[in-house]
Amino acid sequence: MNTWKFDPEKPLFRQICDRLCDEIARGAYPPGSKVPSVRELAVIAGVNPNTVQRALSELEDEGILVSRRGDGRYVADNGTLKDSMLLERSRTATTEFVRAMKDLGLDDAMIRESLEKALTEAPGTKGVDAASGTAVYS
Amino acid sequence: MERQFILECNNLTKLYGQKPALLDVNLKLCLGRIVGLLGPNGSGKTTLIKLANGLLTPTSGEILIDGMKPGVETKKIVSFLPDCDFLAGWMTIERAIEYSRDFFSDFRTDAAKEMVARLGLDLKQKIRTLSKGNREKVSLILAMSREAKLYLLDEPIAGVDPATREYILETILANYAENSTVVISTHLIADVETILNDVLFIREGRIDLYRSAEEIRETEHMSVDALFREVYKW
Repeated sequence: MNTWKFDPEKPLFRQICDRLCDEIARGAYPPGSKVPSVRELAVIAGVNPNTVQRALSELEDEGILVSRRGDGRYVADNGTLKDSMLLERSRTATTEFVRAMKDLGLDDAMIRESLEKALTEAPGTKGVDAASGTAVYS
Repeated sequence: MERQFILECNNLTKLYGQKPALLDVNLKLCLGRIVGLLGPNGSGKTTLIKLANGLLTPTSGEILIDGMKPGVETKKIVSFLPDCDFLAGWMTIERAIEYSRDFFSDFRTDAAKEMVARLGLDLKQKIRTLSKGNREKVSLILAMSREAKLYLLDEPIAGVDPATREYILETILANYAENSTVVISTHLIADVETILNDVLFIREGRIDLYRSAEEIRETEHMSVDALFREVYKW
Protein backbone atom coordinates (compact mmCIF):
# COMPACT_ATOMS: atom_id res chain seq x y z
CA MET A 1 0.00 0.00 0.00
CA ASN A 2 1.30 3.37 -0.98
CA THR A 3 -0.61 5.83 1.16
CA TRP A 4 0.09 9.47 0.42
CA LYS A 5 1.73 11.55 3.10
CA PHE A 6 -0.30 14.44 4.38
CA ASP A 7 0.15 17.34 6.71
CA PRO A 8 -2.70 16.57 9.14
CA GLU A 9 -2.90 20.21 10.22
CA LYS A 10 -4.10 21.39 6.82
CA PRO A 11 -7.27 20.54 4.92
CA LEU A 12 -6.69 17.31 3.04
CA PHE A 13 -8.69 18.23 -0.05
CA ARG A 14 -6.18 21.00 -0.86
CA GLN A 15 -3.29 18.61 -0.46
CA ILE A 16 -5.00 16.08 -2.72
CA CYS A 17 -5.48 18.83 -5.36
CA ASP A 18 -1.80 19.73 -5.11
CA ARG A 19 -0.69 16.15 -5.38
CA LEU A 20 -2.85 15.54 -8.45
CA CYS A 21 -1.55 18.73 -10.06
CA ASP A 22 1.98 17.49 -9.40
CA GLU A 23 1.14 14.19 -11.06
CA ILE A 24 -0.36 15.96 -14.07
CA ALA A 25 2.68 18.25 -14.29
CA ARG A 26 4.99 15.22 -14.15
CA GLY A 27 3.02 13.63 -16.96
CA ALA A 28 1.69 10.74 -14.87
CA TYR A 29 -1.78 11.67 -16.10
CA PRO A 30 -1.36 13.13 -19.62
CA PRO A 31 -3.95 15.54 -21.07
CA GLY A 32 -7.07 13.64 -22.12
CA SER A 33 -6.32 10.64 -19.93
CA LYS A 34 -8.71 9.25 -17.37
CA VAL A 35 -8.01 9.78 -13.68
CA PRO A 36 -8.89 7.07 -11.15
CA SER A 37 -12.38 7.03 -9.67
CA VAL A 38 -13.17 8.63 -6.32
CA ARG A 39 -13.15 5.27 -4.60
CA GLU A 40 -9.88 4.20 -6.23
CA LEU A 41 -8.16 7.46 -5.31
CA ALA A 42 -9.48 7.19 -1.76
CA VAL A 43 -7.81 3.81 -1.41
CA ILE A 44 -4.59 4.93 -3.13
CA ALA A 45 -4.31 8.03 -0.97
CA GLY A 46 -5.72 6.52 2.21
CA VAL A 47 -8.33 9.25 2.65
CA ASN A 48 -12.07 9.59 2.91
CA PRO A 49 -13.93 9.32 -0.43
CA ASN A 50 -15.92 12.50 0.29
CA THR A 51 -12.65 14.40 0.65
CA VAL A 52 -11.43 13.05 -2.70
CA GLN A 53 -14.77 14.03 -4.23
CA ARG A 54 -14.31 17.58 -3.00
CA ALA A 55 -10.76 17.74 -4.40
CA LEU A 56 -11.86 16.47 -7.82
CA SER A 57 -14.77 18.94 -7.95
CA GLU A 58 -12.35 21.72 -7.13
CA LEU A 59 -10.04 20.70 -9.99
CA GLU A 60 -13.06 20.54 -12.26
CA ASP A 61 -14.02 24.10 -11.30
CA GLU A 62 -10.49 25.15 -12.15
CA GLY A 63 -10.81 23.52 -15.57
CA ILE A 64 -8.00 21.05 -14.91
CA LEU A 65 -10.29 18.03 -14.94
CA VAL A 66 -13.40 17.48 -17.00
CA SER A 67 -16.19 15.14 -16.09
CA ARG A 68 -17.85 12.94 -18.71
CA ARG A 69 -21.30 11.83 -17.72
CA GLY A 70 -21.25 8.25 -16.52
CA ASP A 71 -17.64 7.81 -17.48
CA GLY A 72 -15.61 9.41 -14.75
CA ARG A 73 -13.17 12.27 -14.93
CA TYR A 74 -10.44 13.10 -17.43
CA VAL A 75 -7.52 15.48 -17.49
CA ALA A 76 -8.56 18.43 -19.67
CA ASP A 77 -7.43 17.83 -23.23
CA ASN A 78 -5.56 21.05 -23.43
CA GLY A 79 -2.16 21.04 -25.15
CA THR A 80 -0.62 23.67 -22.89
CA LEU A 81 -2.04 22.36 -19.61
CA LYS A 82 0.89 20.13 -18.70
CA ASP A 83 3.49 22.82 -19.48
CA SER A 84 1.66 25.60 -17.69
CA MET A 85 1.08 23.32 -14.74
CA LEU A 86 4.73 22.33 -14.63
CA LEU A 87 5.73 25.97 -14.76
CA GLU A 88 3.32 26.90 -11.99
CA ARG A 89 4.31 23.99 -9.75
CA SER A 90 8.01 24.63 -10.23
CA ARG A 91 7.56 28.34 -9.50
CA THR A 92 5.86 27.48 -6.24
CA ALA A 93 8.63 25.07 -5.30
CA THR A 94 11.29 27.63 -6.15
CA THR A 95 9.59 30.38 -4.16
CA GLU A 96 9.44 28.07 -1.15
CA PHE A 97 13.08 27.16 -1.57
CA VAL A 98 14.18 30.79 -1.78
CA ARG A 99 12.07 31.72 1.23
CA ALA A 100 13.55 28.89 3.30
CA MET A 101 17.09 29.93 2.34
CA LYS A 102 16.42 33.57 3.17
CA ASP A 103 14.94 32.51 6.51
CA LEU A 104 18.31 30.92 7.18
CA GLY A 105 19.86 34.33 6.55
CA LEU A 106 21.59 33.52 3.24
CA ASP A 107 22.06 36.23 0.63
CA ASP A 108 21.43 35.80 -3.11
CA ALA A 109 24.99 34.85 -3.93
CA MET A 110 25.08 32.21 -1.24
CA ILE A 111 21.72 30.81 -2.38
CA ARG A 112 23.00 30.58 -5.98
CA GLU A 113 26.19 28.93 -4.86
CA SER A 114 24.39 26.40 -2.71
CA LEU A 115 21.92 25.64 -5.52
CA GLU A 116 24.74 25.09 -8.02
CA LYS A 117 26.48 22.79 -5.60
CA ALA A 118 23.33 20.79 -4.91
CA LEU A 119 22.68 20.46 -8.65
CA THR A 120 26.11 19.06 -9.42
CA GLU A 121 25.77 16.61 -6.57
CA ALA A 122 22.17 15.54 -7.26
CA PRO A 123 21.98 12.18 -9.04
CA GLY A 124 19.93 11.90 -12.22
CA THR A 125 19.61 15.63 -12.70
CA LYS A 126 19.08 16.62 -16.28
CA GLY A 127 19.62 20.32 -15.82
CA VAL A 128 17.86 23.42 -14.67
CA ASP A 129 14.63 24.64 -16.17
CA ALA A 130 15.67 28.06 -17.46
CA ALA A 131 12.26 29.64 -16.92
CA SER A 132 11.96 28.78 -13.26
CA GLY A 133 15.42 27.88 -12.09
CA THR A 134 14.20 24.56 -10.78
CA ALA A 135 16.09 21.32 -11.10
CA VAL A 136 14.54 19.02 -13.70
CA TYR A 137 14.90 15.31 -13.12
CA SER A 138 14.82 12.84 -15.96
CA MET B 1 -41.24 13.07 5.71
CA GLU B 2 -38.93 13.02 8.66
CA ARG B 3 -35.36 12.31 7.80
CA GLN B 4 -34.19 8.81 8.57
CA PHE B 5 -30.88 8.48 10.37
CA ILE B 6 -28.88 5.28 10.26
CA LEU B 7 -28.05 5.69 13.94
CA GLU B 8 -29.97 7.85 16.36
CA CYS B 9 -29.65 8.23 20.13
CA ASN B 10 -32.25 10.12 22.12
CA ASN B 11 -31.36 10.89 25.73
CA LEU B 12 -29.54 7.58 25.81
CA THR B 13 -28.29 6.61 29.26
CA LYS B 14 -26.64 3.41 30.39
CA LEU B 15 -25.72 2.75 33.99
CA TYR B 16 -23.65 -0.16 35.23
CA GLY B 17 -25.05 -0.35 38.74
CA GLN B 18 -24.66 3.23 39.94
CA LYS B 19 -21.84 3.99 37.56
CA PRO B 20 -22.88 5.86 34.40
CA ALA B 21 -21.29 4.54 31.20
CA LEU B 22 -23.32 6.82 28.93
CA LEU B 23 -25.16 9.91 30.11
CA ASP B 24 -27.99 11.52 28.18
CA VAL B 25 -26.42 11.06 24.76
CA ASN B 26 -28.13 12.66 21.79
CA LEU B 27 -26.69 11.78 18.44
CA LYS B 28 -27.76 11.48 14.82
CA LEU B 29 -25.61 9.85 12.15
CA CYS B 30 -26.42 10.06 8.43
CA LEU B 31 -25.65 7.53 5.73
CA GLY B 32 -22.49 7.82 3.63
CA ARG B 33 -20.08 8.88 6.39
CA ILE B 34 -16.99 7.43 8.01
CA VAL B 35 -17.18 8.46 11.65
CA GLY B 36 -14.40 8.19 14.22
CA LEU B 37 -15.65 7.40 17.70
CA LEU B 38 -12.73 8.75 19.68
CA GLY B 39 -12.22 8.77 23.40
CA PRO B 40 -9.87 7.72 26.16
CA ASN B 41 -10.10 4.29 27.75
CA GLY B 42 -13.33 3.79 29.67
CA SER B 43 -15.10 6.74 28.01
CA GLY B 44 -18.09 4.74 26.76
CA LYS B 45 -17.08 3.83 23.19
CA THR B 46 -17.70 0.11 23.51
CA THR B 47 -20.87 0.64 25.54
CA LEU B 48 -22.32 2.76 22.74
CA ILE B 49 -21.45 0.14 20.13
CA LYS B 50 -22.86 -2.69 22.24
CA LEU B 51 -26.11 -0.77 22.73
CA ALA B 52 -26.34 -0.30 18.97
CA ASN B 53 -26.02 -4.05 18.54
CA GLY B 54 -28.58 -4.95 21.17
CA LEU B 55 -25.95 -6.59 23.36
CA LEU B 56 -26.92 -4.14 26.10
CA THR B 57 -30.23 -2.45 26.74
CA PRO B 58 -30.50 1.24 27.62
CA THR B 59 -31.19 2.20 31.23
CA SER B 60 -33.22 5.09 29.82
CA GLY B 61 -33.66 6.84 26.52
CA GLU B 62 -33.47 5.04 23.20
CA ILE B 63 -31.13 4.03 20.43
CA LEU B 64 -32.46 3.47 16.91
CA ILE B 65 -30.81 1.86 13.90
CA ASP B 66 -32.39 3.00 10.64
CA GLY B 67 -35.42 3.94 12.73
CA MET B 68 -35.69 0.54 14.45
CA LYS B 69 -34.84 -0.67 17.93
CA PRO B 70 -31.85 -3.07 17.86
CA GLY B 71 -33.03 -6.60 17.11
CA VAL B 72 -33.20 -9.24 14.38
CA GLU B 73 -34.09 -6.71 11.67
CA THR B 74 -31.26 -4.33 12.51
CA LYS B 75 -28.71 -7.14 12.66
CA LYS B 76 -29.42 -7.75 8.97
CA ILE B 77 -28.11 -4.31 8.11
CA VAL B 78 -25.42 -3.83 10.75
CA SER B 79 -21.98 -5.39 10.46
CA PHE B 80 -20.34 -5.52 13.85
CA LEU B 81 -16.69 -6.07 14.67
CA PRO B 82 -16.39 -6.67 18.43
CA ASP B 83 -13.31 -5.61 20.34
CA CYS B 84 -12.79 -9.13 21.64
CA ASP B 85 -11.80 -12.38 19.99
CA PHE B 86 -14.99 -14.21 18.93
CA LEU B 87 -13.74 -16.71 16.35
CA ALA B 88 -13.89 -20.45 17.06
CA GLY B 89 -10.34 -21.80 17.26
CA TRP B 90 -11.07 -25.13 15.55
CA MET B 91 -12.30 -23.49 12.36
CA THR B 92 -10.11 -22.80 9.39
CA ILE B 93 -10.33 -19.30 7.91
CA GLU B 94 -12.31 -20.80 5.04
CA ARG B 95 -14.78 -22.43 7.44
CA ALA B 96 -15.18 -19.15 9.34
CA ILE B 97 -16.05 -17.46 6.02
CA GLU B 98 -18.66 -20.14 5.23
CA TYR B 99 -20.06 -19.79 8.72
CA SER B 100 -20.55 -16.03 8.29
CA ARG B 101 -22.02 -16.59 4.83
CA ASP B 102 -24.65 -18.92 6.33
CA PHE B 103 -25.55 -16.28 8.90
CA PHE B 104 -25.78 -13.18 6.75
CA SER B 105 -27.53 -12.97 3.39
CA ASP B 106 -25.47 -9.89 2.45
CA PHE B 107 -22.15 -11.71 2.91
CA ARG B 108 -19.82 -11.57 -0.12
CA THR B 109 -17.74 -14.73 -0.10
CA ASP B 110 -15.62 -13.70 -3.09
CA ALA B 111 -14.73 -10.40 -1.47
CA ALA B 112 -13.77 -12.22 1.73
CA LYS B 113 -11.44 -14.61 -0.09
CA GLU B 114 -9.87 -11.75 -2.00
CA MET B 115 -9.14 -9.90 1.25
CA VAL B 116 -7.66 -13.06 2.77
CA ALA B 117 -5.21 -13.25 -0.12
CA ARG B 118 -4.45 -9.53 -0.04
CA LEU B 119 -3.73 -9.54 3.66
CA GLY B 120 -1.38 -12.49 3.24
CA LEU B 121 -3.44 -15.11 5.04
CA ASP B 122 -4.03 -18.75 4.15
CA LEU B 123 -7.63 -20.02 3.84
CA LYS B 124 -6.65 -23.47 5.11
CA GLN B 125 -5.06 -22.25 8.31
CA LYS B 126 -6.82 -22.91 11.60
CA ILE B 127 -7.89 -19.85 13.62
CA ARG B 128 -6.26 -21.35 16.72
CA THR B 129 -2.81 -21.27 15.08
CA LEU B 130 -3.04 -17.60 14.05
CA SER B 131 -1.27 -14.79 15.86
CA LYS B 132 -3.39 -12.20 17.64
CA GLY B 133 -2.83 -9.69 14.85
CA ASN B 134 -3.82 -12.20 12.18
CA ARG B 135 -6.96 -13.21 14.09
CA GLU B 136 -7.90 -9.54 14.15
CA LYS B 137 -7.38 -9.38 10.40
CA VAL B 138 -9.76 -12.34 9.93
CA SER B 139 -12.39 -10.68 12.16
CA LEU B 140 -12.10 -7.49 10.15
CA ILE B 141 -12.38 -9.37 6.85
CA LEU B 142 -15.58 -11.04 8.04
CA ALA B 143 -17.02 -7.67 9.06
CA MET B 144 -16.04 -5.89 5.83
CA SER B 145 -17.30 -8.70 3.59
CA ARG B 146 -20.87 -7.75 4.33
CA GLU B 147 -22.87 -5.36 2.20
CA ALA B 148 -24.18 -3.57 5.27
CA LYS B 149 -25.76 -0.16 5.81
CA LEU B 150 -23.87 0.38 9.03
CA TYR B 151 -20.48 -0.98 10.06
CA LEU B 152 -19.61 -0.75 13.74
CA LEU B 153 -15.91 -1.46 14.14
CA ASP B 154 -14.73 -1.53 17.73
CA GLU B 155 -10.97 -0.99 17.86
CA PRO B 156 -10.15 -2.54 14.47
CA ILE B 157 -6.48 -1.49 14.53
CA ALA B 158 -5.53 -1.65 18.19
CA GLY B 159 -3.81 -5.02 18.09
CA VAL B 160 -1.81 -4.78 14.87
CA ASP B 161 1.52 -3.23 13.95
CA PRO B 162 1.67 0.18 12.21
CA ALA B 163 2.29 -1.29 8.74
CA THR B 164 -0.68 -3.62 9.07
CA ARG B 165 -2.84 -0.72 10.26
CA GLU B 166 -2.45 0.81 6.81
CA TYR B 167 -3.61 -2.41 5.19
CA ILE B 168 -6.57 -2.60 7.52
CA LEU B 169 -7.61 0.98 6.80
CA GLU B 170 -7.17 0.33 3.08
CA THR B 171 -9.34 -2.78 3.43
CA ILE B 172 -12.05 -0.73 5.14
CA LEU B 173 -11.91 2.00 2.48
CA ALA B 174 -11.95 -0.44 -0.41
CA ASN B 175 -14.73 -2.65 0.88
CA TYR B 176 -17.39 -0.74 2.75
CA ALA B 177 -20.65 -0.71 0.83
CA GLU B 178 -21.51 2.38 -1.21
CA ASN B 179 -23.51 4.93 0.82
CA SER B 180 -23.17 3.01 4.04
CA THR B 181 -21.87 4.50 7.26
CA VAL B 182 -18.79 3.22 9.05
CA VAL B 183 -18.18 3.92 12.73
CA ILE B 184 -14.62 3.24 13.86
CA SER B 185 -13.91 3.37 17.55
CA THR B 186 -10.27 3.89 18.47
CA HIS B 187 -7.85 5.80 20.60
CA LEU B 188 -5.20 5.64 17.81
CA ILE B 189 -6.37 8.88 16.26
CA ALA B 190 -3.35 9.82 14.18
CA ASP B 191 -3.59 6.51 12.34
CA VAL B 192 -7.19 6.90 11.24
CA GLU B 193 -7.80 10.61 10.95
CA THR B 194 -7.28 10.95 7.20
CA ILE B 195 -10.06 8.49 6.40
CA LEU B 196 -12.68 10.09 8.67
CA ASN B 197 -15.48 12.44 7.62
CA ASP B 198 -16.57 13.22 11.13
CA VAL B 199 -15.15 12.84 14.56
CA LEU B 200 -17.04 12.17 17.73
CA PHE B 201 -15.19 12.88 20.97
CA ILE B 202 -16.58 10.99 23.92
CA ARG B 203 -15.54 11.32 27.53
CA GLU B 204 -17.05 9.97 30.72
CA GLY B 205 -20.16 8.90 28.88
CA ARG B 206 -20.84 12.23 27.20
CA ILE B 207 -20.35 13.42 23.65
CA ASP B 208 -17.99 16.39 23.87
CA LEU B 209 -17.73 17.19 20.21
CA TYR B 210 -19.14 16.08 16.88
CA ARG B 211 -17.50 17.79 13.91
CA SER B 212 -16.21 17.30 10.41
CA ALA B 213 -12.53 16.40 10.37
CA GLU B 214 -11.79 18.72 7.43
CA GLU B 215 -13.50 21.56 9.28
CA ILE B 216 -11.22 21.01 12.28
CA ARG B 217 -8.16 21.19 10.03
CA GLU B 218 -9.52 24.23 8.22
CA THR B 219 -10.69 26.33 11.16
CA GLU B 220 -8.41 25.17 13.99
CA HIS B 221 -5.33 24.59 11.77
CA MET B 222 -4.84 21.50 13.83
CA SER B 223 -4.86 17.80 13.28
CA VAL B 224 -7.68 15.81 14.87
CA ASP B 225 -5.05 14.13 17.01
CA ALA B 226 -3.72 17.49 18.26
CA LEU B 227 -7.23 18.77 18.99
CA PHE B 228 -8.00 15.60 20.92
CA ARG B 229 -4.87 16.02 23.01
CA GLU B 230 -5.79 19.62 23.72
CA VAL B 231 -9.40 18.88 24.67
CA TYR B 232 -8.40 15.95 26.89
CA LYS B 233 -5.40 17.56 28.51
CA TRP B 234 -5.25 17.12 32.28
